[in-house]
Amino acid sequence: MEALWGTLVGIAEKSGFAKIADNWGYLAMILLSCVLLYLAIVKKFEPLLLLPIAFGMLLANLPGSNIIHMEYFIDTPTGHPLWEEILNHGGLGDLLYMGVKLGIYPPLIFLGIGTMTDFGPLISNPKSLLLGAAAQLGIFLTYAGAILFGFKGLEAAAISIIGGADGPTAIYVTGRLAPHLLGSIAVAAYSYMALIPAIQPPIMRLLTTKKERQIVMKQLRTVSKTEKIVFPILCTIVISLILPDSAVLVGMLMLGNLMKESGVVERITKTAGNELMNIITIFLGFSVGCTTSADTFLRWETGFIIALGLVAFLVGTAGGVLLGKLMCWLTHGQVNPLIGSAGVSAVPMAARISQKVGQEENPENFLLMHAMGPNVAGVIGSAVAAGILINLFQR
Amino acid sequence: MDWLIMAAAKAEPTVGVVVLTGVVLVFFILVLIMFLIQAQGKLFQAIEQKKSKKQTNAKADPAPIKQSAPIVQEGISPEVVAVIGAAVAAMAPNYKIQKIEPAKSTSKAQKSQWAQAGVMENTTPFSR
Repeated sequence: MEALWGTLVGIAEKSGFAKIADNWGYLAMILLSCVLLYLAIVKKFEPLLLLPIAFGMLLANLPGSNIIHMEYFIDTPTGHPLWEEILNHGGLGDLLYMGVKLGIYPPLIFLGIGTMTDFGPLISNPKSLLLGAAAQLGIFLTYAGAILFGFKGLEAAAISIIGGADGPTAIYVTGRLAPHLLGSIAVAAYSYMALIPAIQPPIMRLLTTKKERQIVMKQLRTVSKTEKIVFPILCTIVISLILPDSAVLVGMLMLGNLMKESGVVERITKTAGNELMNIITIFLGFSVGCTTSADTFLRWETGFIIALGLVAFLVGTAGGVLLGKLMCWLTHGQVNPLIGSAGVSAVPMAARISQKVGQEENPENFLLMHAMGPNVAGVIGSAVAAGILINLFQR
Repeated sequence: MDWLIMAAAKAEPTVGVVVLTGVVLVFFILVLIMFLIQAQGKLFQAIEQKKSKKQTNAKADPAPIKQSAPIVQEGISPEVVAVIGAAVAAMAPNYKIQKIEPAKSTSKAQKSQWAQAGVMENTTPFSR
């Protein structure tokens, strides 16, 4: 009887309940993961990534699951991941996280995004690139804000990329510069991307007049297939030569787009945009979620990151709208400033917001295709900004 | 001197340097892409215009389309044909007259008994 009781006590002491009693942070993270699951499933906040992130968070914070060991990746004696430990004692999260650590998943997601992107509106109105550039102001001003909050340069650079409103780019940069902040930054980035319909319209209305919002833009010219094929090749060559650190992200985005526009590789285009992207989304989301343990997530830094993420989105939106106003003035009212807010690279949500706010003032105004130009320009802009930050800070 | 350069290269850039470099470089690269796309667009539009000009020149002098004259039955005067043609052109310009012939006469001998009875009933005076 005593042996049986002893065995049961031993099991109880090793159970997750005992470990939660030692560290209540685990319970807080389990509850937070349930909140994120609710937001993903019921409120449909970017469910494709938030659901696996939230579930990875749940599994990583069930004590004793040993699904991931961040000590194998962060602050190691050699500065490199502890490969032997990972292969011999690693859990599923450790092995899947390798794709994040080695920078494999985000470029493959960009490949899939490229197959689903139409650069036609951008090619027919190249000035949209200016609006895409202006929206990246949010990234660099947030960097300054993060430094003021006391973050180190590497950390501030990783936090600032939230302003690009691009999940794969944020994960790519953070994985390289500040992997210990990956969970916080990923959760903040995807949550704010889902909140764009709530964040952007007040800024758009504040910075524009009713007359400006009613501007109807001229129809875009048709773009030939040859132009759509030359564009990704040209972009890749020019950007990669000027900024080699952007080559991976920009190159994979343009490869996916070229595959789609060429029309000669339909099979692999479908795979890249569907099956491959779905597999990588699962691996990426789950492994990023696993990094959000109580020790790394429940810190003052997480609160600052969430606040700075909001600032990044607000400043990015304002930057795009303000340049849109300038372009409106310079072109004597031919550009509707609302399309400037679409320069944040949340495709196609930000373009839909421009359309919606424009239609509130003029129900016959269709700004969607005009806003798609800055929207896809923002994807290129955020990839360029990521390359700049990696170039400046990677050791 | 080399160690100074290496130390400077590895030192973390200041906030001002990062913000300025980032904004300027993003704008520079995207403005460059913008000019390249504009140049590409103009080039392809010029090529398209040349192609379409060549095609329109080839189609400039087409062979005249021969309009076939309507078949006119004997006994109908040219003035009547002209009046009919003018009336059709005025009412329905896209129509083409193929044949002009008199309407078939409807003599009593050609009508059936039932048809004749119908005509009688409809044309008999009310006083009957």
